[in-house]
Amino acid sequence: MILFKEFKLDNGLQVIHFQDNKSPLVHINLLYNVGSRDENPNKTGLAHLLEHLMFSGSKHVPVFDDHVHQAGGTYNAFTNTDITNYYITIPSSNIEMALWLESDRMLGLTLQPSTVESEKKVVTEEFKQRYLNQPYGDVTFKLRELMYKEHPYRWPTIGKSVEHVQSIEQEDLEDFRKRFYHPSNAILSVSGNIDLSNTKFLVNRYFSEIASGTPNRNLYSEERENKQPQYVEIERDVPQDMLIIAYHAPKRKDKLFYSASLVADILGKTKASYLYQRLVHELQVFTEMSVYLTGEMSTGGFIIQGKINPVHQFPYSFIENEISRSLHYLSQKRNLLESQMSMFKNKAQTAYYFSQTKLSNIGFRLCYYSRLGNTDLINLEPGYMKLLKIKELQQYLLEELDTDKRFVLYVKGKQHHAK
Amino acid sequence: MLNRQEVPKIFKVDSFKVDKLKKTKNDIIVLGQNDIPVFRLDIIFPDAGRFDEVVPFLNHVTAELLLSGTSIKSMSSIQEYIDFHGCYTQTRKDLYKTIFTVYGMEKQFIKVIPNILSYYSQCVFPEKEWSILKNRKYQQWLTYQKKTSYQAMLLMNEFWFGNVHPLSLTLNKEILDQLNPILFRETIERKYQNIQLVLTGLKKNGIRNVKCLTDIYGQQIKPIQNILEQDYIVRKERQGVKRKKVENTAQSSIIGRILCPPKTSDKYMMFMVLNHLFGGFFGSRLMKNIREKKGYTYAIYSSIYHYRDHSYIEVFSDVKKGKESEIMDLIQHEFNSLITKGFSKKEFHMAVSHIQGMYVRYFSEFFSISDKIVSQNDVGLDLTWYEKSNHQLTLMIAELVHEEAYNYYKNKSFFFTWAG
Repeated sequence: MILFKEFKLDNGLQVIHFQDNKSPLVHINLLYNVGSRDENPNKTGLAHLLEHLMFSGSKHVPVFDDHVHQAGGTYNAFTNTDITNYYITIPSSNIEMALWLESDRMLGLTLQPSTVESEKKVVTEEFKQRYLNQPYGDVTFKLRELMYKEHPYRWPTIGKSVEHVQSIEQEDLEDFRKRFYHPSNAILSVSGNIDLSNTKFLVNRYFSEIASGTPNRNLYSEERENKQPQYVEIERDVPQDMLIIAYHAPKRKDKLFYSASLVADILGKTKASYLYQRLVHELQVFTEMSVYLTGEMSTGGFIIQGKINPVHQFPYSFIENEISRSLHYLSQKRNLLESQMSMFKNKAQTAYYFSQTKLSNIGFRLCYYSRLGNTDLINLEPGYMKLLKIKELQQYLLEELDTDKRFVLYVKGKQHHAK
Repeated sequence: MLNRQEVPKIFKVDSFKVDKLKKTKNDIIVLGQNDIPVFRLDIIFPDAGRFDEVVPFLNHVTAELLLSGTSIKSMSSIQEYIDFHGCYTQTRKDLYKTIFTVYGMEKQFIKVIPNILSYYSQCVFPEKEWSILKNRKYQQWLTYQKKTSYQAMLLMNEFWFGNVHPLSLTLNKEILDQLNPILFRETIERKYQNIQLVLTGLKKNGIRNVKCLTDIYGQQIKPIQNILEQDYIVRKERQGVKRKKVENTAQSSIIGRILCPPKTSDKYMMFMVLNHLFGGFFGSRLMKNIREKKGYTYAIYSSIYHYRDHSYIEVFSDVKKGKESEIMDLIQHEFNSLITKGFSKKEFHMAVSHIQGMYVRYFSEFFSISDKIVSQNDVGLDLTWYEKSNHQLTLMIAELVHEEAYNYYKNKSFFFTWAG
């Protein structure tokens, strides 16, 4: 059980404290309620580029990283569709350094045109490294376009294209920062070897004078329910064809999300998972496969993907039908579903306890659950999973993974195609 | 009123204490007394490295099939058993060894561990499981051919280690075709009998669980300190650049290597600091000058790698196309600049503090400590090395590091490979 305390500053900054005296460290996690879904569709990649630039110097701190390193700390950040998250892990005696740095860059950056241009180049290389220079690297871009027509999840966090990243101007970055980087749009967790009163004192000292701002209202176009299957085929320079079948998935804070999560595990988490057994082991239509949730705060994705076994090279239609048949069969076989459910509930329980072994993990999850609206989910989620009933899983399989609700992406290998 | 111009006082990074390792009479290392009711058991097979005298990769492919089935249990029923008890398994393989790890809830230990361990020792390597794995491996090999990072690394290893070295070989179709279930079974007898155990994370059932392991393994367990010297080829200094052409890539991958004193050397920590200044962390010269100033790459790091017969500094980066030569020159230039011109006291102290902070983090988590036990074992060291090294860091002087680096590296340069 994670025993945390919460308080709020007058300027709206939410703060969560978790004390662990066995650790010599503190972990400062600062989550901003802004992600790529908040971008202008014509200038995507901005949230992520700004995250990079948050390390380039702030009002009173020309060089961010030198201070963290001198104090024996480490830091990093990530951006996704929903949030931007920064963290510093540092020996507890140097906690003030971490709070000074985080608060100063919340107060303002000193963006130089040359720094912005240089960082755009860095992000361009990141774009290539992660997505363009990897086999199958950009297939999820196409999947997003297929699954979302209205919602800003239709573009990836890195940006729609390298050109989009290049077109971002300093003014765009400054406007975006002003809109979203302020106390009332942020959640701070302080975890580790520090007590509550000291945390309150230090957080007040460094953050209370920062002007509040207006919280992100998080209003987005809702994606319409998919009522008939949609198909797209793309060609890539890859050795194996790939099939991705996706469905819309519940929002992260929806109770139905837990059913989706357990169903995904049952279908593809391990070699004993039902769909893995059927498609990789028995029929050998795939050489490898996975089933996962993208886990977004708005309507997310439930993804079944596999690389097609070239030895048999079953037609796409056969594989799709087989997946439909398997999902239906599983929903009807109560005993089978029950035994699979027990297995993956137990596994989820173990994963929950392992997630408590790292301070950084606890610090991030406290902020994330707070952002979902209930910080205590850090303790409650394993129980929700445990209470799931067979009926709920059957219902999920039949209703949410209905064939008509599919988005299907075929990735054809160029060499195969040429044959 | 807070004066934001005022930099908060920096307190020296606390030193840390490495607790004396608890070892049972038959050499099981036990770590923990954790609040969290989970365990991790690392079963190390010190004879099952990447090299095998029968067929290359035989040990490692055998490792991937350890849970593929016994004469009475199929692969799927074994996996169901593991899943049902909420356990996770993982197999890690490197040049010297294979590690089979089981993670789970502590209360399940005594029930599941004897069974899981019997599954691998009684494995019959069913033909069907091998055929599925073989096909997957071959497809993965085809995919790797398209990766510039893989091609650059392979080319580097061919020149650095020699083309008969296990690290220079790939698990291609020719090698896959030589493997079969009879060889896997023989490998279990030849290479998987010696074991070393590290048990991490005990809440209250520690003694009971250790007894469980002792009952299973008896005297088979080997002490964790047991290094077999294996030297494949005499290493010589190598310089210059080699390229592997890969069509239709969005970037190129560059690797550079240069020798470095081993971890067992008294002077090693000076080279650790040097590597840190060069490319070992965000504040390094490579990150600042090649990533941040030039924007030629998303990430450029250098790390020190250790083998039993030598160690080296390696730089790796995926870089902008067309800039490969310039970047290799810049890497060499940054290194030369450190060696000849030296570095500021501020830079030096930053690197030292960062390393000290890193060590504090290593020893703040039990699972990280077990990782360190295993990696130290590879080069014949134990955890006290970290205490000793931390002490050396507190006494280290920038000028001496510079002098030592200059004497070691004058007239030496990197050997580079790149693919793209």
